[in-house]
Amino acid sequence: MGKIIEYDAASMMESFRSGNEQSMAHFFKLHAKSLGYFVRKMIPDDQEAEDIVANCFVKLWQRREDFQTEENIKAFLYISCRNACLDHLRHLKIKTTAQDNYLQHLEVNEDSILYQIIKSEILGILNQEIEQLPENYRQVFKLIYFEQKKTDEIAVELDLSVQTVRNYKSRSVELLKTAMLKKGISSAVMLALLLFAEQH
Amino acid sequence: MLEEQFHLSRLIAAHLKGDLDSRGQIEFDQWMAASEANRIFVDGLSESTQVAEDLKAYNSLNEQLVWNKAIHRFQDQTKTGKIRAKNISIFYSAVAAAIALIIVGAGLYFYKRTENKQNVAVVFVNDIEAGTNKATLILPNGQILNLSAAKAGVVIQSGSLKYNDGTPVAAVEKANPGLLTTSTPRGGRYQVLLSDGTRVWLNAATTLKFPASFTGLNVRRVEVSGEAYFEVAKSYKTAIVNGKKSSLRIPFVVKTSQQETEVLGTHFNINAYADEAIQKTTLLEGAVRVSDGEGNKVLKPGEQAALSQGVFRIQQIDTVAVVAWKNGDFIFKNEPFENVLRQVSRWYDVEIINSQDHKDLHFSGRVSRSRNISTVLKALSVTGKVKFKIEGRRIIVIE
Repeated sequence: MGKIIEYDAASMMESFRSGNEQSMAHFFKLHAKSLGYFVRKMIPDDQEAEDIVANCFVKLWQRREDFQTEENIKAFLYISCRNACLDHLRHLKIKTTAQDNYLQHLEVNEDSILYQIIKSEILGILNQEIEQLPENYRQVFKLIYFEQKKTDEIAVELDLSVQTVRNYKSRSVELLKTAMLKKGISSAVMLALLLFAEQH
Repeated sequence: MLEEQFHLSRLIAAHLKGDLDSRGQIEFDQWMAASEANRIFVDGLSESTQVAEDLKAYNSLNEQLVWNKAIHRFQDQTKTGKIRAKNISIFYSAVAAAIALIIVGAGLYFYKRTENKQNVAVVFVNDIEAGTNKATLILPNGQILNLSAAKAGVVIQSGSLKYNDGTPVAAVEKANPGLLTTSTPRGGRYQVLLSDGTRVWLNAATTLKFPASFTGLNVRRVEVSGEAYFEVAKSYKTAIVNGKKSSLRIPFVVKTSQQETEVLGTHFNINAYADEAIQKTTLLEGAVRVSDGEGNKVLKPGEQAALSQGVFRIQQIDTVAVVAWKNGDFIFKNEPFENVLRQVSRWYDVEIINSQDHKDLHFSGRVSRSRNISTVLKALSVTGKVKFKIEGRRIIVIE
């Protein structure tokens, strides 16, 4: 789990176009979180945001025969979501004045949407790093970093001993460091992530 | 489409991870130098607590839920025969996928988490209905009549009281000098047709005092507290001016606790609730003069006079929004949250408890007044800025 197996892009596209559900699931898993992040920056309501993302995948499915490359698919998804968001905002019965202004700003100024797309993609790439940790370490790391849970809470949640959790914690930090050292780099961001994890 | 954005995201991510090769570095530096906005964007991503927050937000999507929604809609498509979708596999199935495909499953941990999350739809139990036609009429002799909820308005004539469809309102003594009072409660609204043909719409929690007959008067005077929309009929009297017979207009004056509005024949809205700090007079057609005993201002159509602390402020205003209540809608234009709450509370006759600090929150939009309160509350909460709970006849702002 959490592993990535190399796959052949051409056969993936072929399966997808011919309606293979597993390949659909693949693209969903690949893009859903980024799209979700992107949409929720524009749409305050979580349920509405979820609907928009779900609908875009349905539209993708309907048109699956039209796509040549994975990047085509990704672009379609973002554009579809963007349009659905703008539509939704336009049709809101009541908006706060801030939202009204925001919508007008978005309609006039495309750049901020483009930056949001870039950011959503970047978060996906960064998140991949974390996903590549072995499962237990990843779980613990996520709980500390994202949920900011304490060691004893984690122990209860994962049904492990407190000592085990502490071990996983320090091991995951080490693994990340090693991975980065292997690449011969020290990124300010990644180090900060590690520091944070170490301190908690 | 978007190739540039996808390329940039890989480039910038590589920079953040410290992974750029020399070519990438040059490209990155060029991009950063190209605009201030680019630099600001990357700086925003380099702050690690911000990254942590963003990653947390990124990971908080309930993928299982969204997938389920998508699946249901695939299957709906199937029913119309459009798409074949047999046995779409459960997203986090334990069954290994075909070898040629990526296997990206979730750990047990993740699956457990999604089971615990409950998607609670916003449902209001004990919904509250919209306001209805409700009013009382108090006669000069003190007699109180409850006006029928089945009728929308009452017609005043010196000798009789009838509903707007002609049926009489209970037997009333003739020639009743003195003022009558029509009052709508909270959650009520009514129309009154005065004996000179002037039509008045009363919003909730409003009182209108007026004489049964204007005959022989040089001024037609009424009093309002609350909110009312007037379509004043023109009224004339013959007089000898400079030896000649002429027709003079008889002014119509509306008095509120703080001001008087003098009207010659026109359509306007007065908003003068005791619990609102500002009294507003909005002119749609014709001409009015507003005065508070010290200063006065003449309004032109499309203008609103707002009286606050002894000063009249005039501005051009969207009259449609101002009289929306009469036409069955709430229309908010950059309306402060507290004002929105007061309007809702009067129309639905509910108490609203607001302990949240939403001083800077303003709303714009339109929502019907004829639906239950949940419709309005939902429209407000969909903005993500406020949440409500209904408890009997109380609405509590919980966020």
